[in-house]
Amino acid sequence: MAGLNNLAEIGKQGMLLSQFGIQIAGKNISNINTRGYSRQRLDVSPILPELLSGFSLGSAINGDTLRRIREGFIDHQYWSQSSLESRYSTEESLLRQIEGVLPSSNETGLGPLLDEFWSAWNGLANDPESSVARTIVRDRAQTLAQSFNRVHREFISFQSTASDEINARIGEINNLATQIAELNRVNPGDNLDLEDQRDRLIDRLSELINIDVQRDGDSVLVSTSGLMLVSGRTSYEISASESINDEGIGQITTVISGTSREVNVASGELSALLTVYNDDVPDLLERLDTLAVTLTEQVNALHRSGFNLNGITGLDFFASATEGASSIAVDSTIAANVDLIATSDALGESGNGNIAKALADLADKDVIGNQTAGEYYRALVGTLGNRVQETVFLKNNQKKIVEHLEMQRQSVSGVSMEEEMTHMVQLEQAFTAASRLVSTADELMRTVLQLI
Amino acid sequence: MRVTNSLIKDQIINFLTANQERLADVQRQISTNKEVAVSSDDPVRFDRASRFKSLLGKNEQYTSNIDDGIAWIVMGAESLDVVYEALQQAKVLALQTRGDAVSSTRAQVVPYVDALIEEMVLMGNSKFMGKYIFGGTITKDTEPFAYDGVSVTYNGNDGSLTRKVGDDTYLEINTTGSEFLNAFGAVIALRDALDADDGAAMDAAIAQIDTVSTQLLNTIARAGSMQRKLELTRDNLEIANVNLQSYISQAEDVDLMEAILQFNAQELGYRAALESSARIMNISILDHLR
Repeated sequence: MAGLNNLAEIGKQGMLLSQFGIQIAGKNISNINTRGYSRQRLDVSPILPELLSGFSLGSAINGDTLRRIREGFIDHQYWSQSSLESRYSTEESLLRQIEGVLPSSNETGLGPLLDEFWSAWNGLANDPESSVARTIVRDRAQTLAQSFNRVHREFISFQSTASDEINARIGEINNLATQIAELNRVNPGDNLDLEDQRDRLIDRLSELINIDVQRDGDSVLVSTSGLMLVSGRTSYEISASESINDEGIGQITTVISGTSREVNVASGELSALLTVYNDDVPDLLERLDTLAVTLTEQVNALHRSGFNLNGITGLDFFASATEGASSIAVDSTIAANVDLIATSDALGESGNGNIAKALADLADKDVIGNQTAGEYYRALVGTLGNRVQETVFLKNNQKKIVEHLEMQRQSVSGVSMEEEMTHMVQLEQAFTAASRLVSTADELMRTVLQLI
Repeated sequence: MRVTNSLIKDQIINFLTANQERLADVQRQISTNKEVAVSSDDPVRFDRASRFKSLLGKNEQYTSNIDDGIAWIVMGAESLDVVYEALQQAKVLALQTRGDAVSSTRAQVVPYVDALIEEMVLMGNSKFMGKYIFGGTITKDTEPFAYDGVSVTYNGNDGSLTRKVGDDTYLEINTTGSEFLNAFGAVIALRDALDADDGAAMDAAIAQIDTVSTQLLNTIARAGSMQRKLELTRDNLEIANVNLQSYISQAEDVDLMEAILQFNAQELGYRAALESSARIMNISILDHLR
């Protein structure tokens, strides 16, 4: 039965409802710039007549009907695409660093140093008697060898930096997994802000490694390439094991800690680091080694057949122990005495530069497969350049996709000042109307009382 | 689509960043004058530029080889000219003292002829940059020609000296002493005939001088043609180098006109984006609510 008391009660409930609505609008507005915040809405349902007499209208402002406006489908899309984007952009920045290490510029790279090395032999062929021409050959050979050594060293140190980065990323992944599991435990479902927080953690996790996310009631299951990272309140750690071979080149594998299950990291920053660490750098190093070893062997073979100013034959020009780019060096006895550089193919002919000539001609000989040393090096630089370009292309495409998804997310979950303000004005008016209801009830009551 | 404030903000940032990146890229191209600076800018063009640069470097080495070779040849030809002159002077002295009426003057010219022989030996042992020109590949320590007052012996060899002027091309630059060793023999024969006052031997010596003179002229002409070959090669290389320079430039340099036009277009776009962003950011519902 509707009575006057009830009228005042309805007015009170309306005022409380409007007040609460204004609070939520205020919260939305103050989070207008908070990344990962989903706007919140109070769903008001009409109050059924039978409830008016018996139950509290307070149920209308129950937390059950306060909800996040969010689209799960976009989230899943976002997580898989942002993994790819961060993989390509990390790969790009790493490969650009490599491009910087490998002096690929046309002025200062190994290529021009090789050219200068051959040209020095040509100069010596013109002037086999001259100690100046000999010194030039030795100095350029040393510069070339040292440049090989330097590139090798920098690659190795690049690898060790990358290894630190890999460990840092794995630490972050494990940390995020722990936090997500913790939120699974405390949240479930009745705290919208904690849900936002969990989604933010998953966002970051998806940038690090490829993940699949499934909702299981109020908690989430997170897995990577079929291996569970977070299940309910439990999280599983990833660990890396690094092995370094004789030449100082490392390989890293990732496993779920305490098991032998290997994690096949397919995208995310971690995958970029692993790819560059495990594939790109070793491949480049191997090619540099091939070049250094071939150079040593070919130059030495010719040099051994020649005679030097002291009439000695059979000497190596580069140290014969060369194993690759790390150890190539001019033979120490040659380095100490340039008269020992062989130039002549006959004993006692100081003006005979036939060996030096043959060495200068090596520049145009196919020494590695059907490539000259210079061509081989240029191909190496070209491969790297292609790889960077391809990655940049993929990154740009992926960036567009992720930007688009981010826009969609914002479009669904983002706070709009216009909406909130309009809403607030509406609620303000509703509040005024509800208060008028109370005062009307008061007037009616007074009229009734005057009857007495 | 529902538009929210952070969506607008993100979009503005994305657009402006993209605009700035493009502007910075064109700006870099203009200020370095290079469109392709590292391999990843354009692997194909980068590779082309580095191949051309390598070729250019080689050609420059060839050009300097040629200059060096020409200097060597010129030096040798000058010495040979002096030797030829000496031969002609010896012949003149011989003809002047050939007649029976003047046979008494023969003994007087012997010292002159001796001096000529010594001058010829000196020329035969001339050096270029510290190296004996006519010794074959024996260029140091041992003089090519040794004269003991009786005869001249050649201590050099027949080794040829060459200069690399192309990938597989070597051109010869030297004349060895053995090619004109007989010139010394002819003048020494004349000197001995004069000394012995032997008219018949003088006739034989004069004939011999004529023969070796002709041979020497051929040798000098050969040096001239070696020089000519080098000069032709150098001309070709210089033309090739000009072409290479322009290929390199095509491969890596920026087309300034196009880049500047692009820069202007980008700048305009950037300004427009800034302007519209500033305007949109200033609009708020708050200004319109009491």
